[in-house]
Amino acid sequence: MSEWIAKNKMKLQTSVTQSTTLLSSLHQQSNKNLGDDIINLFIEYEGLKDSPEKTKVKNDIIAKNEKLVLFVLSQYYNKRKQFENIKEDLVQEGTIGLMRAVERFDWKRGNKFSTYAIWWIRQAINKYLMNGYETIRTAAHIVTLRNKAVRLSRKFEKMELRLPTDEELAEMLGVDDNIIDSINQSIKNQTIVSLDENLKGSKGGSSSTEDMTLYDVIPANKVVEAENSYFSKMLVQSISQTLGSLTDKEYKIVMLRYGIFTDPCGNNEECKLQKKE
Amino acid sequence: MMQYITIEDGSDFREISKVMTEHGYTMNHATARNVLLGALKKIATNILGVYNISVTEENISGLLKSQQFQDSIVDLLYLANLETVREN
Repeated sequence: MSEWIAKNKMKLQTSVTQSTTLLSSLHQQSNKNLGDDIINLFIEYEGLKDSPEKTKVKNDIIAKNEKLVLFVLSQYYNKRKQFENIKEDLVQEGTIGLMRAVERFDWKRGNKFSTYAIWWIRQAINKYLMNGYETIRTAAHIVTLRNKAVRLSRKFEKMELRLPTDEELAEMLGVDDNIIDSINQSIKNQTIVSLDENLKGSKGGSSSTEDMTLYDVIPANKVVEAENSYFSKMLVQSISQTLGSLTDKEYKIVMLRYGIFTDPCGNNEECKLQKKE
Repeated sequence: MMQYITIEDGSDFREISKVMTEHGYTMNHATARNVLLGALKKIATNILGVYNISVTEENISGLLKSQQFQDSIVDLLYLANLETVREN
């Protein structure tokens, strides 16, 4: 076998080179055809005024570039587990971005449509993630800073083998400490869970916790506070009543002893006059 | 063992007896203390009644002489006094 390869080495090399060239030219040709096809559609789209025909051409362009949305998703968003549940939403948002790219693309500049459209698709998806995805909406500039802070923190951790402090992070981002507080708050806001979430999936959950929800295990602090408040009120009322039942002598001594009421005469004018005499 | 209770912003028994004598209630410091303990006993019995707790005379006497009880009673007395003043 090896002898045969040695004998026919030259022939094999030639045939491999030829087939590679052929494949490459075919690929280029198909790309060119595809590109020309899309540019022709854009020329047609530009020439038409608002009409059903124009919408049809636009839909054709979108249909031919649908896979761009999936490509962008696979490149930038599929790696994050948190986006698995909203993949369909992201496809829809990406398609809206693609539609906007079609409306704004200027074929005369000589750029490929995909190069232009990818930015619009990413923009639409990012906008959706910033505005509508989180339960508590975070300002766009805080989201941008948050992403930057996460990137810088990772970089810092690799270099220093520890997480940066808030002051260091503020210095790296070039912002005030209160902005760092807002960023930290927005990170906390990301981890929102439903009260109806089942505890079945939690680690160490026994069969008795299978039907329990998060709502069942959250302590009702406010109820305790209400109870305490009720008892405090009852106590004050009760002591108030007891104070009323005390003799004048007892009442005055109690008040003097605890420094609550220093003048034993109070509002009694006769007593005050007696004291002056 | 004798326990001494410190009261911030308040008066000692000698001072109280002096003020009370000036206002027509002749008494010495020991009487002032006994009258105060009597008044506190009434208040403590009432508080225990709110929580449905029954205690012996000895326990109440011990409770009255504790710093913790007297510290907590100050706030309650202040609020109760405010309420009494408001009602009047």
